Amino acid sequence: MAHAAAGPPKPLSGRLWKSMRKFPMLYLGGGIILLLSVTAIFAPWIAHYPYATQFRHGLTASGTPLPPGGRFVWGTDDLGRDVYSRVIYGSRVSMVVGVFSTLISLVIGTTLGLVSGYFGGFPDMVIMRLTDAVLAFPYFLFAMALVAVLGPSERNVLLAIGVIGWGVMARVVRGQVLAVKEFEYVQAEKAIGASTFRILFSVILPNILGPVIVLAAIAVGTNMVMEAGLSFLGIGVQEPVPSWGNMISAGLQAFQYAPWLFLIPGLALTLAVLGFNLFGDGLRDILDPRNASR
Amino acid sequence: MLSYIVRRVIGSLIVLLLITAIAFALAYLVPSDPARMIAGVHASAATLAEIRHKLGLDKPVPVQYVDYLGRLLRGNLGTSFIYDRPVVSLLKDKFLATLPLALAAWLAELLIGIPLGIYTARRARRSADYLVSALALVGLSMPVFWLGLILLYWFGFKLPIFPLGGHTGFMSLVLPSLTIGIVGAAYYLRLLKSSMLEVMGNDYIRTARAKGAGERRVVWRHVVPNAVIPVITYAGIDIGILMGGLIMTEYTFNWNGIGALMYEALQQSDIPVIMGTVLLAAVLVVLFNLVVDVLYVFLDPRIRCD
Repeated sequence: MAHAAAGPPKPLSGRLWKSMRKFPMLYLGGGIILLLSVTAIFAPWIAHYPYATQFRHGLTASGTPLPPGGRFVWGTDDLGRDVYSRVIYGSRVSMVVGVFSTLISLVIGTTLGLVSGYFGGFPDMVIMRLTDAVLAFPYFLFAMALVAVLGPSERNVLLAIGVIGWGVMARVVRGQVLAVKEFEYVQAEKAIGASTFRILFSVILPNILGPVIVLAAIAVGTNMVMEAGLSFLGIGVQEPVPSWGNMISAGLQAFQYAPWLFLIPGLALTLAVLGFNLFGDGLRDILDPRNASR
Repeated sequence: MLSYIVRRVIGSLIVLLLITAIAFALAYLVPSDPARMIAGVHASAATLAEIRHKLGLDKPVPVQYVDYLGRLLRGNLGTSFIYDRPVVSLLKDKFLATLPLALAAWLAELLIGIPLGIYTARRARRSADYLVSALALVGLSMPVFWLGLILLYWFGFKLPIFPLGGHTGFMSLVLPSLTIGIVGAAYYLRLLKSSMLEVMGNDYIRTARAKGAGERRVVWRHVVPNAVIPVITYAGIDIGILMGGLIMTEYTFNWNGIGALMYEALQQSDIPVIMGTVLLAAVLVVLFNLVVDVLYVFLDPRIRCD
């Protein structure tokens, strides 16, 4: 690199600092995601108590939840359970559902997009009309209907969100493939007789990954909100397992006398989703400098 | 121009057909016993047998689908087993209750999102832009049902300006529509801003400035009309997102409309009501998109000449 020759290489910490100042959104988002991942993985060590334990001293004399402070740092809920521990454990549901449902959508959307864009013609028409139809269903309502049919559980919520969330990804991948497939390096692979599978997955795919990762990062956040929404409506994660959504739902019943029950899990959820949105936006700015001002 | 509209209509019809196929698959192929799903948990064996026969569940799947389409075309979405009423008439009642809230929420989205979008685009890369854009990103990350609770707590309970729920005239409309409006506005804001910034980079904007057009004229005569197309496209899709938000918001604010009906149906697995609502929403999305596509003909001369 030209500027490296001008002087000795800067120390790593200096370069990191410079990069952080240049891409604040990416690093802020990445930091939040890291914090969230650590919380989810090490939840049993970070939480103060098991999430389902109902403490005898966890309620006031009149049977209402304890406000934050003292032995229970973020207070207790209607059953005398520790809110802090439940919020910590709640990160697991959000992360697992958010990440794995996105992976499912990613696999379906990328495959369909690759096939559609590369082969064109009839398969393209069929796949794109199907994509239009899937996208016409309001995402959240569609997930709701699917969970209603499959039955409420964390696994079904994950599957439902994943199986229907591939529409936008398929469209974006298709568009990228159309742009890339005429390039010389793709044509060259074709000329030397590479298999279609190889061209699709090891030549084209790595070259269109950028926008797909941006979409995926933002999708994780969206899917977290969907899970929370389904759990809020009572058809997602079931008690006593804590999900930020079912905690907010319990908070709705008690919002006048125990506002911390809805405030704290909602803050956690907003922060988590913000992390993925920041990360996705930051990544997009790097990949496409035209959008840098957003 | 006419061929463009005809193409759009045919495309929409194909999508509608696929939508019904997906809805059919959800209601009749995914569950292990569709008759029980449709009749409810407490249905007797005789009722189940009757439903199986009536819906033709013993026939081959393609025949079942054609039967299902026939029922849809005759406006038959099945019978709710909670209310023991046709789903269509239920939806009609609840839709009328939801309509004012939906319109108010949509208006709130536009009234907050569009002015802020124009404002941030004109002040791009200044502190006001950074502040509003950061707030928009937070708004975008906030679950709508949580925001509803916050507004309800502060402006319904702590400062009792607005009612805590139910529908009692204009005042009860404010908090729920603001809830949906604030979250939804963030999308309009970001879309309009990025679209305006793109337009502002065009040569004809430079030409307009070079001719001596004032800043106000440049923005309102040249930038906004050219930047508004993606916003209109989004408004067509937004109806679906709006309905999702309505379900949770109606539940939070005790609003007795389609959202409340859906909530009740979810608690008791009233599949015909759930499927009917989802199908209605999807059809509305397709129709709105079609209207938007046709509107383009009048808004964008390039399509007219195509």
